[in-house]
Amino acid sequence: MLLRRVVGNSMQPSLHSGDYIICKKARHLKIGDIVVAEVNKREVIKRITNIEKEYITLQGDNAPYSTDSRVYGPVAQNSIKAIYLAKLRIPRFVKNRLSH
Amino acid sequence: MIIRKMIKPVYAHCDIPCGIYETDSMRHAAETCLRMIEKIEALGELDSQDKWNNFVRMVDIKEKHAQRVKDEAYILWSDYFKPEHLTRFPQLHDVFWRLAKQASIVKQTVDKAACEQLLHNVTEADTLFTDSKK
Repeated sequence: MLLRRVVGNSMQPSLHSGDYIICKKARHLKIGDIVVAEVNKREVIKRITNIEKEYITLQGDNAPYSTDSRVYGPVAQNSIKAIYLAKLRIPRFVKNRLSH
Repeated sequence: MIIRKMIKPVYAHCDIPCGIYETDSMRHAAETCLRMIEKIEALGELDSQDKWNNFVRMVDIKEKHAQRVKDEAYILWSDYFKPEHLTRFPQLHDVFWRLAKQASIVKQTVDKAACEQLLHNVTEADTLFTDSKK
């Protein structure tokens, strides 16, 4: 299980900047999954739009504002770290404290 | 704070410097603020729910567009202008700082003069931007 904080708007409206999310280890991937992938030594979150052999095409839901496989090309399957499971519902007063 | 540090960020960014810079969006946003102030003034007394509704909507639009002026100015200031521009235009920081401040004043007030001043500040920034390309 991974706990991550979303930074940026490329996955809107599915995920918003500041959302806390739970992910599970990536095993069986399918088109449509939202995944955490390691690209250029940093973790990004995108949706799988195509799977071809060992290569995965990623795209942000908010396509005009997303840097994804359209820029860096398909990523290797082993760069997928986790699959998004759910958003953590954190009360606003806790969230506010976390953001300071 | 500690918990926040423990939770790693995962990026959903657009982080390509696209190199497309312009001042039209900033001017359009400033002109929208001016138009909203004119429309608010034209409303007269708020004696009906419809007028209140329109008033709130206009203030909201003014707020958003004044913020847009600031956002557009910050993009130019931080991304477009480089240190070499500063040697050519030593007034650069002052121009953008005053522009951002004026946009905040437009948010805080319903003042046509403040908005006209904002348009003047936008023109100043626009002139700098145009001159920097020569």
